[in-house]
Amino acid sequence: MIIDFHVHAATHRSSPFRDVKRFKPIVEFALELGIDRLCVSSIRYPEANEDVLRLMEAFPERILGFCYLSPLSKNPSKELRRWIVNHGMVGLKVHEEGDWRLSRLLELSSLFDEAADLEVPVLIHSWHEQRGLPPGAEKHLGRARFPVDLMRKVAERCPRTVFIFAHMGGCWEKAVKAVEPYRNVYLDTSGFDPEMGIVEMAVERLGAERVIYGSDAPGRSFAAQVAKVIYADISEADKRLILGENAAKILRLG
Amino acid sequence: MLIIDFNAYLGRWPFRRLKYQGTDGLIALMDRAGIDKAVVTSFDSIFLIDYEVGNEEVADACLSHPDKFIPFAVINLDFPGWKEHLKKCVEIYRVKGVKLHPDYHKFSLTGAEMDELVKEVKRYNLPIFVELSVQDMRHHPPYCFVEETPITEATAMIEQYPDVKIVLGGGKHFWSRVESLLKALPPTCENYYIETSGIGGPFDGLRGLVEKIGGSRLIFGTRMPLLIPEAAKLNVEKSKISEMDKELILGGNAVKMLTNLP
Repeated sequence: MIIDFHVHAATHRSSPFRDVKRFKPIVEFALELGIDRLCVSSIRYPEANEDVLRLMEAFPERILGFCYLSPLSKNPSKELRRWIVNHGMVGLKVHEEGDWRLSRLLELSSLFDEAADLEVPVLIHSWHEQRGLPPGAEKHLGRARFPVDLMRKVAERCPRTVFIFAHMGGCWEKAVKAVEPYRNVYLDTSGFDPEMGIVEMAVERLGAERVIYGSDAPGRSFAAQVAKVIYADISEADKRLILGENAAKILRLG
Repeated sequence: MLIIDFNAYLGRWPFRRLKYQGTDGLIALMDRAGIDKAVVTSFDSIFLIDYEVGNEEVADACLSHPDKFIPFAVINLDFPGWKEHLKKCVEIYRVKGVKLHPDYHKFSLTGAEMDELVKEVKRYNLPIFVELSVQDMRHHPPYCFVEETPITEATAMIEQYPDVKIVLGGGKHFWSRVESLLKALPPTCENYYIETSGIGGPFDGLRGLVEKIGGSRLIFGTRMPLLIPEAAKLNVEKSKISEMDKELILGGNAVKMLTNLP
């Protein structure tokens, strides 16, 4: 079974994929590629979780819902409990929003502890923040970045929580080094071009048990993203772990 | 069906060690991915100041493996004597096209230097392949951050030189930049082609792009050994487009472009 750990329905309110009918081809296309289940979140608009819930109801065999909680909300822990316990969502997605930057991740420690209490993982958008960039570079890099060392601090502060840092941190070598000592931390392979040797490097240093396949679809191509794992120079057993077994274990799928 | 990779690299990638490098590495990857022939240039023509060294390496590799490799010449318009070097590449190295890296070599795609280059490529009847960025710049180390060539530069070039065949490739969400290019260009504009290694989205691959400009305008490329060649190939194979379009993209269009040469 292949589980895609990183799929979005909508990243903004005007996205067409909020509509179940428009999302259906995504589910079908993934299935044709052998991708059985999709971990789906919507982010950064108030009705995001309602949209994901509709998808879960429309495709109960295919969609695993991740709830998104605005870091700006007043009582995110209560909200988390509601979406997980009452609505059957299986994880928490964290992203920057408005003026709230991911460099403030530690402010969410109590929310992350709550996720541990509920036995659900936390998927965090992650992209490394570099020093010494030339003037003008920032406009190409987006705002959703933080120093990879923060991954260590978060993992240390909340050792019971399972964290998945997305996109392998954007700087693969630094992210792997940063999270190496923390057994509660995983990296997902989503959302960067299919560069050679990256999955292999992560498997060599972290073990395949801590690497998880994700695509970042529908913005990214399922085929190009899953190819990173299918064509990696690693064992077939390691590929099975990355493509589905690790996710199934984290999500406690039967 | 002949499968041709229009965008492969010899030479050394400076920022991490790649398992498959050089002639043997590239041939191993081609065999693994089921690619028959590859258009090659060298990373050394991007990163070494004397870029001509990379073209010499490409010429040697193509001489040793004419059945596998098709040489293109990287031309740096900011380097003295490029015209003489291009002449050598055409007459001695038998290159089948010119490749440009305006982001690294810092020249405009529409200035007086480009007018000069266009005169030369028309004389030799060669296509120009413009690599707008060889790697998603969000991965560049800060000491070598190179801003990608704006898509508006490519648009202007395509309009300015309607009788030159121009192939465009690039990284970092290249598919959305191609969308901007298509919006900016009139539908009558048919002198450009899109190389597919940067089309890593949306979820269903090339379908949308084929609907917009047709399979005859897309050319399969991988950027191996920096990128996994099977990823670009799978992206074509799994797209919901006709078998005829797949054949055109994976090799037919390249054959047509490369055999129309003198």
